[in-house]
Amino acid sequence: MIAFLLLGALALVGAVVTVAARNAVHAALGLVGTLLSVAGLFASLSASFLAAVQVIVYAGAILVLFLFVIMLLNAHQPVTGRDPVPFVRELAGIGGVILAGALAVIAFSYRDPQPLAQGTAALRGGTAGAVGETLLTRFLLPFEAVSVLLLVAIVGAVALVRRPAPQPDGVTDAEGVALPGELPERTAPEGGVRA
Amino acid sequence: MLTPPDVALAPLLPILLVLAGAVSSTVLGFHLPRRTLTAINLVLLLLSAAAMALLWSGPGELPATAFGGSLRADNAAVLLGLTIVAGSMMALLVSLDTAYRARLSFPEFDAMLMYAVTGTLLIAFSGDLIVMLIGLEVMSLASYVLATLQDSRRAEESGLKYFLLGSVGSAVLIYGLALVYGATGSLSYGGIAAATAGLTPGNLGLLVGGALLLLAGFGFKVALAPFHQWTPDVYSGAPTTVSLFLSTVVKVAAFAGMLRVFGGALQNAPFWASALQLLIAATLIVGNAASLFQTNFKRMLAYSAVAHTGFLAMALLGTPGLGGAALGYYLLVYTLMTGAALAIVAALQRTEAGMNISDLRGLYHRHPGYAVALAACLASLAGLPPFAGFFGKYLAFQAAFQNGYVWLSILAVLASVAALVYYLRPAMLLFMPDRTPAREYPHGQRPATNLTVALGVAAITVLGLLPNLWYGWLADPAIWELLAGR
Repeated sequence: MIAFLLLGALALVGAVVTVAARNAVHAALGLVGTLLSVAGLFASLSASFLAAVQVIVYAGAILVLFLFVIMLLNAHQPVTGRDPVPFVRELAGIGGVILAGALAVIAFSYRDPQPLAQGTAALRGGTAGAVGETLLTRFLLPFEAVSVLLLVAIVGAVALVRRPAPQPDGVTDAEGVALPGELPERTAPEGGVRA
Repeated sequence: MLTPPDVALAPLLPILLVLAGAVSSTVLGFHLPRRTLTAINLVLLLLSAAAMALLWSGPGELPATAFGGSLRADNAAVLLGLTIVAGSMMALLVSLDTAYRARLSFPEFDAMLMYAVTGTLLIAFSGDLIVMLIGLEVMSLASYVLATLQDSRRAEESGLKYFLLGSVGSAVLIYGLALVYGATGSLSYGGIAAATAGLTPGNLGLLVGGALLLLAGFGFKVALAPFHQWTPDVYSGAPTTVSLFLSTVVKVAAFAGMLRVFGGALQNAPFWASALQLLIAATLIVGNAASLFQTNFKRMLAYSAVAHTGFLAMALLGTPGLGGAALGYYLLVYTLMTGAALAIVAALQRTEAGMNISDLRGLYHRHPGYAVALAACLASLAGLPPFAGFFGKYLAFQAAFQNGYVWLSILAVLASVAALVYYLRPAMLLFMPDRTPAREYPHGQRPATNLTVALGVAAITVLGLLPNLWYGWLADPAIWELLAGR
């Protein structure tokens, strides 16, 4: 219980730093704190495999990528712009407090739809075996469908970075074939081109 | 102890055929020209439709399922899937004529489109929330890329807006999904429906919160006000072929997800219907009022898509039996009429910004076929009786009215009267005397677009005169009452 409270508080502190920091590097480091605390929460719930994956994938790989991008894009200067929407901080603060209160009420009135013993038995100490077995039996279709999702992300990213050359289609005649280098609407006067 | 997974090929076949098209477009794009790949994809879509038709289960038959109920090839999935395939084929056919002008004629365009269709079919065939979510994400990611794929500032702006707001929508949706799982302890539609069947389900606050977050997330995807802000910018900024795809297929799939979740899994859950009612009222007012003031025809069609979201979502307020049938009918009709109208815009526009409404003046004297077809589409969108749009609107209003949403139905009728103004103004301009110089794109042959427009207009006319050709398949309430499974 003490471990849970401590880790929960650390996760909250990290989350607040992530949102409030004006420097992108500080925000990313706050996120590391949150992710590590959440990994600790998983470990305290005896989901050891999940905790390890959380540290390796999120805190390790993804956060390093974040930091790389922040450094490469020179985004580590503090943000100095002003919010165009007035009172957005105050409103967000009030909304957050109300939401936290509502979630606290819900948490204390929560009744687990599954008996706790059943869940613990299914977890089998949170080893990789139990996770893998569930993934490849009960969640086989989502597991395979996620691979399509990743494929879409890869193909889409490559297609956007290196846009291929358009292939002539044989139905546009000679005058139409000459593709303008830029879309005509940016050079044509307003009101369209007279024929 | 190890139970082998319940793998069955037949219910998965329609999705696998489309996925095969997507993967082959990705890989064979290095060896084959793009138009050949498009033809292959069209054939695969037809095969997928045939595979779906074979999955139709007659009265008394149990629907085919696989993966322990994660995949449900029931009649609702078949009907929604056929609508999705119809819209995708329209988009592919139109792209045959216009993709080069839009600088989209490369294999990756086909690949992303087919990936998006794979995701949409996964939503229609989903049996639990996880599969639905992954289908939605596959569809959304592919749509973001499609909207950005053209190498222009307009498309990049539209794609970035779509990506940022769509990601927020997805995040909200996932949060809602987690809360619903926490409240009911089940991810499958059937399990959630069973857990919420009692009058006072446990964890009511969590369930209501989750349902409302799901509603907001889906609201982003189908463009319900106040979550519609991205719609006009994305639809008018993306190339017209992509707008056609986004405003028909993607919207049909998001509605299929809503139908599964709200009409199936959460049909007994409280409170979401009242919230949906308010969202629909806002959508009807905002969509129709904004359409009245548009000067660009493509942007007007984008706002009309928002307004139609309101009309379509009214069917969700009906009882599952009646509302599901109304939504199924209206979705096909909406796909056909919006697809045909945007196909005409894609064929005639000079630039991807579309055409101004004033440019339509006298189109009848320059392109009589297109003008008559466009007038038919606009009349159908407005809901005038000889066309199918009338029957779709009537069914949706009837479903909401009979379930006690009287004031919303009255508002919808008033909104569709206002809609007459902005649909019929361009329709009248088409037949005005031609005094201005032609503003259409003058070059090229458009056989595939002509075919698409002809089929679309013929279909909305025939379905308007003989609605039972499609409604007869949908009318059985049992199809829509079993959305969540037994």
